Amino acid sequence: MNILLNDTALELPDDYCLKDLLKLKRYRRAAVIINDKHILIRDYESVILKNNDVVKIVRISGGG
Amino acid sequence: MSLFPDAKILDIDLTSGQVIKKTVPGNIYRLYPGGSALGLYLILQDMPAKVDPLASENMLVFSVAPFTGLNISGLSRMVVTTKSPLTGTIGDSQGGGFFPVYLKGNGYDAVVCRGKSPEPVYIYVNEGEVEIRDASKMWGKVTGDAEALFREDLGDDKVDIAQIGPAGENLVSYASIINQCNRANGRNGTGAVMGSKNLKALVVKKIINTKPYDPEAFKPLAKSVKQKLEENECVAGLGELGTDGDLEGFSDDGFLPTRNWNTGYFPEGAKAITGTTMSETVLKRRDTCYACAVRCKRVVEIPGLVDPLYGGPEYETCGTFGSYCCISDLPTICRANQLCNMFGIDTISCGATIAFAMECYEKGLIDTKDTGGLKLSFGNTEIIEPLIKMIASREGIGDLLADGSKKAALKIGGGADKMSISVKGQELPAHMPQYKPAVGLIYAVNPFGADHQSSEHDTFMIMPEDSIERKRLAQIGTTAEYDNPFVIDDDKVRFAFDSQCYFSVLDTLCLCQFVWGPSWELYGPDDMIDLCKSGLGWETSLFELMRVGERRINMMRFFNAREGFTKEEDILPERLFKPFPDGPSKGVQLDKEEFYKARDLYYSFAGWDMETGNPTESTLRKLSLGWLLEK
Repeated sequence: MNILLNDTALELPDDYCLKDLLKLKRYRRAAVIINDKHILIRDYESVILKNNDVVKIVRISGGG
Repeated sequence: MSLFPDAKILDIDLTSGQVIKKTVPGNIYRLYPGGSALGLYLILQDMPAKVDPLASENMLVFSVAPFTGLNISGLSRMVVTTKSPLTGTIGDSQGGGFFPVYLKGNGYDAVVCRGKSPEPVYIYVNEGEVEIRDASKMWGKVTGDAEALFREDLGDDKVDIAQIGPAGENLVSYASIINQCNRANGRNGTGAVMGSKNLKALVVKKIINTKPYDPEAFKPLAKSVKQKLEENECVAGLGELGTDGDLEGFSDDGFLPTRNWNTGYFPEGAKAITGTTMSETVLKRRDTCYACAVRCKRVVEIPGLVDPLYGGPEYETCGTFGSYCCISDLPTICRANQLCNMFGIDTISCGATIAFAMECYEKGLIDTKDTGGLKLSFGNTEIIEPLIKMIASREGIGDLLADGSKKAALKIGGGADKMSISVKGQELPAHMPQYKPAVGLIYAVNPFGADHQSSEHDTFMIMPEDSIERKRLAQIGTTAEYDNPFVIDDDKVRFAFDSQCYFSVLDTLCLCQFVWGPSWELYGPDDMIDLCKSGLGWETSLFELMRVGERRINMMRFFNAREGFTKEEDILPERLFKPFPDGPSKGVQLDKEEFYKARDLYYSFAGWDMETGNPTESTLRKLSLGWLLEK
């Protein structure tokens, strides 16, 4: 399937879950918005991405 | 008798050698409970306005907090407060390690240094005894060599030392104060103030004796750190990869300050200098501050080049000596970090000032005749070591760069001022206001210049509402949700001000901002109140603590107002309002009109005068600071 991740096209296997996408892209802690909807933390593991999803992942960082 | 403990102050006149032990009564200490709030209270009592930062009249205060030394993570911090030679504003610098715990263990909440010793000296505190001792043997020595001499001089290994290096002795405007050879009170040039007083070091006997007020209530709070760490990806990541863990990600997103802030994209070099690479190549071990479970400190070793005694680079150091300078060689950065810790120099201002000099060189404003033959091109690793040494000793072009990029730009002319990426003369840390506009707002209005640890960062407001970050932010009144970090609206301004007040509490109570904070940190607002109650017997509330933080900020702004500062100095470098030229952030820019509108809103939220940006009489009186108006 194909998704749009942060304005860049990305091909992924079918039934790819959000948690694996975060791992693939090396995000440790991030906010996720799929098709303009905020995803709750509790749903990160259960959300399965669909073809043509528009995914925005925002890197979370503080000072240091 | 007050329920709040008295503050024990050691007040030392280095001109006369007189040592006075005094107390600040508990009912007063409760208003200024440690850190730079206590430092400011002491300074504003006695120090006249407009003294030269390097004159004997400038006061220098080392301070901790009433519960420093308790056996819990993130509670070993010390603040140094003085008038800054870098900015001309109040100076405020935080540092960690074990030294803060030992200072408190010797019975003192603060050490005040006044005057100027006729000869190099150091102060030795051993419980009730205080000595001012000859430091002529240590003067001129780098920190590692001097440490050994202090211990030899005292015949005692069980001492800890907060000292300046040659940079402080030579009055480098961004000289730091170093303890353990690798922990820095880094910013604002507090080391130069020590040097101006001929004070090489403050040495304390290793004593720990702080006990919790209510051990039964305190114990579970301290023990809960294990579970909190297991559940907290952000803080666990700090332990695993250090503060440098996200550097490559910042470049991937287009917000890593690169080429003296001309771009946010460093694809050719970010991977080589990010925390993962550090862990896989040069990391020797992780280190910790007293009683802290996080272990975020890096210790690196490169045989023949980098000695683990001097620790390892933080994210900021990898940014300033790395991407700012277009350097992608991690050993060079590790070596620069070591040199800064040996000579006692702030790595942020030093690396950023070198990046500024590189741009001046590339644009033809300075040349090899000015630099003693050094080719200051971006990416040239060969010039880093000689340039740091020249800055520390104020030799050649090092003398020009030793006062920071803003003052150097004034001397260079030809538009060099546009290349100084600084606020109030202090160089910007490696977090870009184009990505984090609320942080940018605090860079602009912060009383002691641009600082990344004076407020919470924007990105946490994007987390979903069931996240710990958002739940905690709601406790300080931040409930707005965003789907991107770029907005600077009413809610963001309130978030900036309120989180600044919260961080100001942390800098007053001397709490580490990786462990204690209002969103992602291990311990949240409820925990901080529990700490005050169980650790100190202080029956407080978030309301009182936020007022403590707000009071400190207003004292700093009052100090600056006396020095002639106004909103005219609360500005960001023009470069930050230009669109990014390349990479994933191409075209992104901070809107100048919106930004300064937000700044005005900040002043109104803070209760400050809209024309000057300084605290009004009513705001000072609201915060129990009416006494300042009589000064």
